[in-house]
Amino acid sequence: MLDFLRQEGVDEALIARIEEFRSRYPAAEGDRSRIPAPKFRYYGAEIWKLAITAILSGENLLLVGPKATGKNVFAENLSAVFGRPEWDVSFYLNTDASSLIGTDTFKNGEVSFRKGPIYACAEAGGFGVLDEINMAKNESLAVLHATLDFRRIIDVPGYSRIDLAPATRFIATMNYGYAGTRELNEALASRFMVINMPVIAGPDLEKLLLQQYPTLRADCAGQLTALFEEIRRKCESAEISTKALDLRGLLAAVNLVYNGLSMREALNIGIINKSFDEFERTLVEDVVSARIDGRLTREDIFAP
Amino acid sequence: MMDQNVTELQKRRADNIIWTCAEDYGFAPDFKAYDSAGGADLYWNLIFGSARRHYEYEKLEKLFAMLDKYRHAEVYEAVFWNALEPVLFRAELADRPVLERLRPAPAESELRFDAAMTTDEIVETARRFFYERYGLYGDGRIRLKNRLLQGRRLSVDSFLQRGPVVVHEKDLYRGEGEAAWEHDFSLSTKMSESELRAFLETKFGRSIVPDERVAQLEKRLCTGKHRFTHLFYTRGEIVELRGIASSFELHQRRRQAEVIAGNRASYREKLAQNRLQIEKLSTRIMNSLLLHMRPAPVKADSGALDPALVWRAARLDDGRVFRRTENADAGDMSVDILLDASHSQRSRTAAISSQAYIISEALRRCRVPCRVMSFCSMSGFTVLRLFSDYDAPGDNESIFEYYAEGCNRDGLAVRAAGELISHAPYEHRMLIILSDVKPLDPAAKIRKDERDVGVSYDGVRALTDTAHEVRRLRAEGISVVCLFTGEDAELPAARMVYGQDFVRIRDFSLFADAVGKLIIDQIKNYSA
Repeated sequence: MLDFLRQEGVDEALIARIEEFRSRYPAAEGDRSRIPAPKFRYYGAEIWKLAITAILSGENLLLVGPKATGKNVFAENLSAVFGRPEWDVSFYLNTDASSLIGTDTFKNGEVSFRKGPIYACAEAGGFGVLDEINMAKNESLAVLHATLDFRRIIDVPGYSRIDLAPATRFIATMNYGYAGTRELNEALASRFMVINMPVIAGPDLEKLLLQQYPTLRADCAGQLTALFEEIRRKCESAEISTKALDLRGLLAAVNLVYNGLSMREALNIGIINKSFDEFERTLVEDVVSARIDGRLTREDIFAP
Repeated sequence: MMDQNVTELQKRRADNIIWTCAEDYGFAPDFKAYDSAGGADLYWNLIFGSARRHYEYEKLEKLFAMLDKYRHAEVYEAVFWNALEPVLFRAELADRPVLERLRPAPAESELRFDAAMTTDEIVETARRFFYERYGLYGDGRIRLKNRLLQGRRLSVDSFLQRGPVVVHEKDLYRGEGEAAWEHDFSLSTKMSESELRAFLETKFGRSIVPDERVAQLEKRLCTGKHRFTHLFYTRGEIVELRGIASSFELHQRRRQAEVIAGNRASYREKLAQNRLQIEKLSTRIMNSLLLHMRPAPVKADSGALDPALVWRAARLDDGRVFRRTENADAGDMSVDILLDASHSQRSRTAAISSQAYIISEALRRCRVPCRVMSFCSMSGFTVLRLFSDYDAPGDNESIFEYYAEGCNRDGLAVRAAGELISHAPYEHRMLIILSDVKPLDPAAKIRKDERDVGVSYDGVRALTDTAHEVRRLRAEGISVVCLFTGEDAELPAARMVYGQDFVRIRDFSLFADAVGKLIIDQIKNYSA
């Protein structure tokens, strides 16, 4: 992973400090399996620099950006770079204190405390990924205030109060203006360093496609990238919703072609059908047909 | 010239293909191509779009304007496009290899361009060709020799027969609307913006939003198709007529009072029936709320310890001695009702006010916060009139003051309502629109000196815009449903704008059932 950072052009001094961080806080034996081995790499030296510096300085991160900006990929990449075990918590409307910190349960004939992911993460000094943090109600997140600010504690009523292990960091992600999301209140936002995730640029997307599928032919990667850009532009012009702007779907579609579907079939289920509105689907279909020959198969797009 | 079979959706599709290829969404496509069944033609629209990227389009537009002076402009334009197509095809091919497969057999063309030509050279070549071949002088006159030939059908339209139907959009929207309304509005357009506001105050009631705030809102909301229009918010608080009121104004007020009295009388006339509908509707909504939104405590193996269950752990080794609240809680909801108060609704004011009253009263009984507004447009202003508010449901009676006049700019009204709703402190927000889905608002000609003020709002263009706004609200998580009040002829329009989420009341005795279903469907979504 560190070699990858060098390739991306991250400052050598920063990398040295990451190495120092890693040797100072080795992950416990039992938590090793939680250190992610990312399937995707995040490209973008500038963002890397911001995030690494913030984490080295002991700050928590909030990654804000629209769909397909690689928020979760980046969070996972960060855990891997720092060699920390990762806890993923997906936030939803009814996320509450007990689902974050922990709750009472019954064990061996007595009531005991069952640790929630935040608690476990804090003990082990892991990286906690708070996914879609603005899906939850602000009130239920208030329990995290003391955890996220300078106090760095978790106080469970009726049980003990613990201090966060020094390597603990929290990385929240949010998609502003997504259906069902709400405004993050200031109290919570002030406990994070906020990074605006840029949309993935054409060349980076092409790099990503080729890294993922090394035998993919370059001209095909170029066309798929151009297709994705066109869909994005359509979303930005509010002609269609962002449903079809699906990077995961695009990557998966390439894989489907590799496994035997035709381009058309693969893009149908990977991209086009993500729009459930029939008319919108027609518009996306047009963009696809104007770019990609649907009859292409594995032999056409992959080098032997 | 416009093919009857080309639906609004296909037009939108053609637009989108052109925008995609032009890599620009900031213009309204002039040429669009459809196949004989009325579907947007992928290849030709791509070509139209790519022309914008490869050439200086304003110069081509001048050429088209020149050709438009002639009777068979569409034929000349087809000849031109036919000649430009091979050049664009080759220019575009590098970027889109798929064009090779999409391209239909190219047509023969006497006019030829080559790839190295600049836009100026292309225009010049075309002008010269049109003069030499068809005798076009360029100013609407035709050389005598060719005029004699023109008695017979032009022989060059092989393209039109073989190729797709090409539609030149520019004369598509010259509907009757604008011309017909212009006359009516000549009086008001002589006033300045502030004079108009004063006029609206006497007409609709005191403005409830300070001027600076209105200006901010207008800057944000009155954009795109609504440029140069204005907003006016009121609660209908009557402003005393100052000085000697003109007999016209007095007459207007008298007429309004009659209508309002008529609304009330009509409701009272069928009081029993109406109350029954309120009863039925509120029961239905209440049941649905209880079913779908009540948080349900369940036995669980973790959560808050339930002392009454603890013995089970010790004796039965049952660990499920805790209570946890299941995720059935869908949070609280609010409903906004937006009434179309345009002239076309005039014959239905009594029915519409009753229906709005029934819905809001039923919601009040379920303690669902409800706000009722109406909208209409006049002299470039879109007036939003507030009847009752979330925290003041007691004002429901004022719904009978509903009065229909003027035009309607549905898209802007939906947008403005959406703006208000977005500040609502509720988790689930619903907007019910009572409308005949016939948006119409002639150009706002307040500032006569500006040439491009005439963004008139009617027909398909207005419908698309409204549909767009509705979807935008839905994307923000506000559910938008329509209670359709219009005639059968407008049903397709309602379907286009609101999709599945509209209902038409054919039989008043089924009102509660129909509206109830509409609302309950949304509540189900909230808890899903």
